[in-house]
Amino acid sequence: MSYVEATPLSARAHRRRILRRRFLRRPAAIISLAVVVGSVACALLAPWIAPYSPDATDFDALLAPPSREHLMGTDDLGRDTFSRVIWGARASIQAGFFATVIAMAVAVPIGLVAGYYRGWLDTVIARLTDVLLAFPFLILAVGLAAIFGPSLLNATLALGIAAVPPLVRIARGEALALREEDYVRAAVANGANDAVIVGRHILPNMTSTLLVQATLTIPAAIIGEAVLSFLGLGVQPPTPSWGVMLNAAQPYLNEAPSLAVYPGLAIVVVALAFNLLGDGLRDVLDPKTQR
Amino acid sequence: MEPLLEVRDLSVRFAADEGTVHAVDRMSLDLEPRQVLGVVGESGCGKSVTALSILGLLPPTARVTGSIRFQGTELLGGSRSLLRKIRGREISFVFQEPMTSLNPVFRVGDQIEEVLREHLSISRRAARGRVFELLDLVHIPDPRRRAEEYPHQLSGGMRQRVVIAMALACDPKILIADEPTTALDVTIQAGILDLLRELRERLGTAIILITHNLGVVADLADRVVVMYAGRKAEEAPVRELFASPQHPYTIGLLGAVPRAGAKRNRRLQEIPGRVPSLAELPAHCAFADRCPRADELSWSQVPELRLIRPDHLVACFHPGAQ
Repeated sequence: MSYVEATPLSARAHRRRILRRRFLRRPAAIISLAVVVGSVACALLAPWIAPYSPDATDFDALLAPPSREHLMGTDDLGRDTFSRVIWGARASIQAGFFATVIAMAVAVPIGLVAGYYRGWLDTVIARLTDVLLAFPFLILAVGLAAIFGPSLLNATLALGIAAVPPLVRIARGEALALREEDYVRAAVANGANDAVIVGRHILPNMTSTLLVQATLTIPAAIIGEAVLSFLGLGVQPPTPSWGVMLNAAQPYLNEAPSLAVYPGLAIVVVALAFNLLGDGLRDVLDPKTQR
Repeated sequence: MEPLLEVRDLSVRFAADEGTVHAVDRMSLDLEPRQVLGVVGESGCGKSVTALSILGLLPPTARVTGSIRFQGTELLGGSRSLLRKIRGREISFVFQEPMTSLNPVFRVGDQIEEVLREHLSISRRAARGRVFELLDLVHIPDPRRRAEEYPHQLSGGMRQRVVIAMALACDPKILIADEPTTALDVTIQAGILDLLRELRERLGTAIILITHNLGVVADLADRVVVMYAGRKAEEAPVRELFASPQHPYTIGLLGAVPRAGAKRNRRLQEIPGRVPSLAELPAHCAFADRCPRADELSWSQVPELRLIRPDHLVACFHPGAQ
């Protein structure tokens, strides 16, 4: 416990400084933050970063190996792999981000209600969550995507819904723990209504947990998007997506392995970066962390 | 005078694995306007449970019977909306733990404002002004600056002052303080007690002071209730109780209070034995196994409260000052 009496009005700044220092002590977190920022930049700025249009064909260079003109080579139609990997970040980041937003928007209110009110509703929600948790995330996502029909929007929706059960469990657990806090009891004793207690006392105190959970849900959804697109349930060719590219690379694995290597690498690097960033944030935000 | 708060035959039971736990048994209290009532006893004697039951703050597993009337309105079994109107508005609660009673993610000023806006239709600006007034009232220096601070920036004593400011926000008629100084350093304790005394003088707030510390009671209370094993053991005005305690348990408690200026080498007296388990109410005096005066009668019947002097109640077969 540290008291900050000396510098008035700077406690927020002080805390921010502590958090920043903790973050800067973690090289893995710094590197992964850089990768995450880079991939988001690729997604947003693809038209300006990519050297070629993702659909531009170069019939003089079909299945070309990496060269100065085509850093990652070309595919069977002569399209530049490097440009398509950059454009592919769009689908991945979109799916990762929006699926997580959807999952949070559905799961957090359910978890809060269950954890705060307890009772039979909680029992029903908790058991239902347990049942859904028995299905692996990807199985659930594939099943839902198959029902919704193939498109990026539907894939995102499917991934978002599939990510709900674990988030419900976490939000519920947090709400269960926070409702026993002294300041919640004090708020009850001061006559606060349920909306105030949940909205001002419980939810704000679980944001750091939710933030960390979000950085872990995003990479799962990114991998999920790649899987769905690979299976033909997500982004449809010719729109570039890492999963679509992996699928298209299959017949040429011997002649042009770079076709599969680069999008695969992109998936691994971006997913890993989000995961490591999540780990780093968890350590930084955890008040029990010492350094 | 019509009492502000009238608790009659309050019993609180919890269903536990070992059977029913009788936390409070046929407890009665009266609180008059401006009065400070001290409720004293060891841990587990039921004093906190009594206090929590007044505002309906016990967990739903508690079975509460009896009657709790605030200005004639029955609170026991009252609807959630009735209780919400009373809580923080008419009767406020100050908990023991100042370190955790404030929400860590909001500025303390906003937290006080929240209570105001919950109960009073008041503009933001007026609420803000009232927040500064309240912080000033509880002697927090530089209220405008402190209102902008987060709980972790304040010391324990400051936080308890903020908690008290929150409790006083809507000018409640009763303040229930459950061990308000126990978690604080001795020097800071005195400051908080001075504050409570001053608030009673200035605002006329009646206070129920729950504590295990007889020194605190002697300092502040007008009237004292001593609880033992979920029951009232003795009740008297504070002077009377300290001058001529009648129940052997009260005498034991007083013997265990360190006193400045007492004879040198005087050893603090402990009360032998332990508080009995409340799993089942004994059919005899609950204090019998620790009591030097216990005899066959004590072991065969439960002593009822009786008046042994004007305004002095004791539940003992063998009362009397030492």
